[in-house]
Amino acid sequence: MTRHPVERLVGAVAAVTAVCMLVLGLVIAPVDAVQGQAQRLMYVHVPAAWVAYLAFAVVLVTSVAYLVRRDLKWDRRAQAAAELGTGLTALAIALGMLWGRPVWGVWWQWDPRLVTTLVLLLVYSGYLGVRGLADDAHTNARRAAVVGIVGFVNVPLVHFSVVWWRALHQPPTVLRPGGPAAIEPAMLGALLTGVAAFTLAAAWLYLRRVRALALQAPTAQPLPVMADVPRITVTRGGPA
Amino acid sequence: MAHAVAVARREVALEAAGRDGFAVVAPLVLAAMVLAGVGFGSRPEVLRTVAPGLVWLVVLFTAAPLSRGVVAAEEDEGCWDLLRSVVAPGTLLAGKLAAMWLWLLSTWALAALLATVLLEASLPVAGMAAGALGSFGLAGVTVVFGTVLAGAQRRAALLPVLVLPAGLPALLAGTQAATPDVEALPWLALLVAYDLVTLAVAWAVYPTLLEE
Amino acid sequence: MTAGWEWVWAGYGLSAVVWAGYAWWSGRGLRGRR
Repeated sequence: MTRHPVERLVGAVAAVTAVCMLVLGLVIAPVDAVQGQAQRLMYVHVPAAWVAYLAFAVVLVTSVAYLVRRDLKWDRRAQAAAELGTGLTALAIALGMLWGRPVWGVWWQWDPRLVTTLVLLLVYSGYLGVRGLADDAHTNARRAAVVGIVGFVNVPLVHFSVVWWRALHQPPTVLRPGGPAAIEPAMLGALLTGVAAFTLAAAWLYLRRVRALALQAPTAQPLPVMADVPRITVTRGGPA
Repeated sequence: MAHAVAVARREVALEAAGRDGFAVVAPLVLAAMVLAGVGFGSRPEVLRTVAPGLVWLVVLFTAAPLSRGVVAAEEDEGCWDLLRSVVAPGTLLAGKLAAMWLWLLSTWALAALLATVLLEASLPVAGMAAGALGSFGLAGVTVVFGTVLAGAQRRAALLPVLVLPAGLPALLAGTQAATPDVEALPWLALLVAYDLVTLAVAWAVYPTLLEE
Repeated sequence: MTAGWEWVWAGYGLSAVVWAGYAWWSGRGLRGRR
């Protein structure tokens, strides 16, 4: 039963933390005076964005590790991290839009964090797209590793440029995206629990996915095909 | 160094012989500027306001078709392997980079000229400096991704996805530097940083890309 | 105050769907292979 004890432990703790997050975020944390109930979306939006960026850092580390070691296990870890990261980036953007619409009346704002997150989604998509192009696993791994590293250098550059750009065109304070004006302890607790829950859930799914990818890897010898076995027939015969 | 020049001259010769390069994108640039003029309406203030951003948008979008040509000629003639085994990675990168810079700079110059004529935009000196600097960083990005996708089938779909985010700083800084009433010096400094970072990363990863 | 709760349910519900979906998808190669 406990063939993968670490994985199961992480999953169990993740589940407990998730329940705590729901209770804290939906019930215990007070409603924000300015933004209303919709502010509770912060407790899922921020964790999603956090894990998306964390996954991207994992992609960088595993990509470098692959290029140095040329062991495909690092490539599998990079792939698992990128898949998680892409999904969570998309989720973070969707949640941000669901939060922004009732609070600021707009679906989107040209805020540096939002733009950078959207760019990150593009970079992730390119990364995953490059993975499937060749038949050779090492070719795919090499291309993907380069794209991952180049992307990781690029994202902060993009973020910095957009921050500068927005600094020139300051939006009015009311419209500036962000958390509630003053963050109460219960809100902070809900937020940190959310971050913990998302991180643990991501870690659990990451471990599972890496294991699944390793099982799929073509390392085993193919079994002999029955059709290749010669059929021996015995016929009565003998000297005429 | 001499080899890099030889590689660059070869790229120009290929271009003259009719490969996909500036010759392909020049009509695109013209079409884009004309359509923008029509699409954005005829009010001169509007056109003048969007002109700097439009120029860089056009340049960025031509980077994708241009990147397809980074190794297309060698692949068609089946000599990519030969070139890779004979020429050092740094040299190959330098040559291709120089040629790509020339194409992107030409694209930018054409777009900027059309913006001045068709959209009545004014082009400050800082804008021209930005043109040269931004197209260099963009050239680095284009050459790297063009090489990443050497020999791949779904190139056309993936190239924009890869190139556009990487080119965003050039777009942003280039547009701001060309906009009147904006202090251009910080943006030019950003472009220099962008160029240096792109060059360093390209130089670091190019040997890996040439393995096969 | 019900105003705003529908956005919260939408967001939390979407998150739950995404996590459940990914949990199912990532475990595809593992079923039957404890």
